[in-house]
Amino acid sequence: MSNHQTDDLTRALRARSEDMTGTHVAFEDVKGRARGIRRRRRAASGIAVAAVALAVAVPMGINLGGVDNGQRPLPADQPTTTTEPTGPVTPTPQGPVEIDAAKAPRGEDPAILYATGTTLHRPDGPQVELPKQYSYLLPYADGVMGFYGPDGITDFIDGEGNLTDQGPYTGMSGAISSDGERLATWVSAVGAGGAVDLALWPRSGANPENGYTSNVVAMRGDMQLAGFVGPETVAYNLTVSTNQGATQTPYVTDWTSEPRELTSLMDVRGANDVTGVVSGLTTVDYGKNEYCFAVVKAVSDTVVWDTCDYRLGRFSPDGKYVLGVDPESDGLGGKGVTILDAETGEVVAEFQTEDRAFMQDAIWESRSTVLAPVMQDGAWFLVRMRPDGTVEKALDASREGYDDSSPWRFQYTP
Amino acid sequence: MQLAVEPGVGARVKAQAQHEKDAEFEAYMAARQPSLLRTAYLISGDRHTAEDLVQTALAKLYLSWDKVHDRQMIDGYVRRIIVNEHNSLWRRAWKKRELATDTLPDHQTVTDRHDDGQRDALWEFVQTLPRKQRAVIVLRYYEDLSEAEIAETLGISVGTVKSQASRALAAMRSRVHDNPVLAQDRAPADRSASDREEER
Repeated sequence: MSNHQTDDLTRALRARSEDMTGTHVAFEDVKGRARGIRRRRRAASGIAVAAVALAVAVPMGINLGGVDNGQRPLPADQPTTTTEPTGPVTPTPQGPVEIDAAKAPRGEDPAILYATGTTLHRPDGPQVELPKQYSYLLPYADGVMGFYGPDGITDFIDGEGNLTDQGPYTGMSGAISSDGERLATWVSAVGAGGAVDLALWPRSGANPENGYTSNVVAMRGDMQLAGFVGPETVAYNLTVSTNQGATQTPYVTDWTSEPRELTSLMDVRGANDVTGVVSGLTTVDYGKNEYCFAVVKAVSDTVVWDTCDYRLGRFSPDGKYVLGVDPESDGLGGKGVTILDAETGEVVAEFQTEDRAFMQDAIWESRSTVLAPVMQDGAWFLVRMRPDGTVEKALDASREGYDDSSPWRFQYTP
Repeated sequence: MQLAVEPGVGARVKAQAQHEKDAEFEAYMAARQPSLLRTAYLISGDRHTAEDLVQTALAKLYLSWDKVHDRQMIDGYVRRIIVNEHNSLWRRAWKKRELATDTLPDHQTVTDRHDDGQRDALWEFVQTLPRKQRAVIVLRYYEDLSEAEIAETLGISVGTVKSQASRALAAMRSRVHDNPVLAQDRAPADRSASDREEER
């Protein structure tokens, strides 16, 4: 494409953008819409129910200091030596547990792999320096697979941080089985948009051939893996774009047969190979700004239960719980996370950040612990939450990272 | 005599803080709204949709105003909300399993006498692009963002940004060859340069 042509394109876009000259959005209209969004958020999060103040929480209030400038000293944290709940327990039907991340007690470090910058932290070994900063990690053999955006290549790194091999394009999507023994990745030799090849890897790295078993599941498209739904069966979304439009379709497949579409869902967000269920979006009513989700049996493609109050996501490794997040999460994050009974949809525990804080993507650390980065008072906290309503910090507070991106990169979890 | 009840100190401080927040936010709106509206229009292709997207994005920004500590990041944050909101609009079409773009959005074509309609043809081409490609093209060639910035805004990898842009430009090149209006003013030197770039 010559500069001449892209310059023409730029000029055409600039000329057309002048169509918007004279249009205006009023501040009062913005505030009115903000009030509506806030009402929906509160209704959905159950904040109308009286919140119970905890020893680890402080009441919501106005920060008289205005916007924090990031210079406030961080609290000193002293790790405890127990993984048992360290905070008080709140019966969740009375309302959400309010999190004050700064005051939560310090628990143990994360029990899963994570990286800060180029440093890989391992729960079962010393930290090592990685060749570069990766966007996503999968535990593999005694090291990791590192997925890196710009070149789309999978790096294979041993337990000492040495780059041992480089694999094909990954599409930046991976999954791990609940027992941690099997991995799935999207492999495409030509990058996004080419043939979609699904790879199954033994976690041990013991496959003597090319390391993985593969199956071409589509001739083109972008794959987003949701997770395993059986020993060697995964759920994923396939997005296919053409000049006539784009479609996204959820599928289930193994490595021996044709993919099967999940017709009861519009997309799939979580999967569990113990109970064989998936979670995903069922309907969208943009007029009402309403998104409804369901837990679905992967084999029969039938809805177990559904909800329009939470955006359902990941299942606990044993399939007992499923995470629900704010239906109104914005670009920064949501106000909290809810642990729901995966079989019935009943709320088990609900966690809410302080008024001026927000929480980003929560992941399952184990079958009974959830980790989530919380931005509060200009610092990042990694919070550990349990179904019994207890809260603690899993790491010391950090001022690294950005306002909309925590400094920690975690491994794919089931 | 009835004594006037003065609001408490806490209430006054709260009101003052709210006033300062609103003033700061209004200043941001005044400065950035025109640009945001133009970007939203190019992404959505519709004036009313653009206004709606920007209003929602600004409302979410207003709710998050105290949480954004790095003011230099605000534009990127709002762009991300606009793109995500537009994707939400698009999701309604998922259930239909297709997003029809054979029929272009209704707008009055105004031929620019200085370019013999080339800009209109390019704009109509942009409107036929799939959602993600279109966002990439607008952010790259209108907002002049880097590939890394686009990846951050759209929540995709830089590799995907490159592939989406490449596919969109390839389609545009095809249209240039197919459409004599677009191709007519390409000089031979330009054509060979373009071909050389293609070979690379």
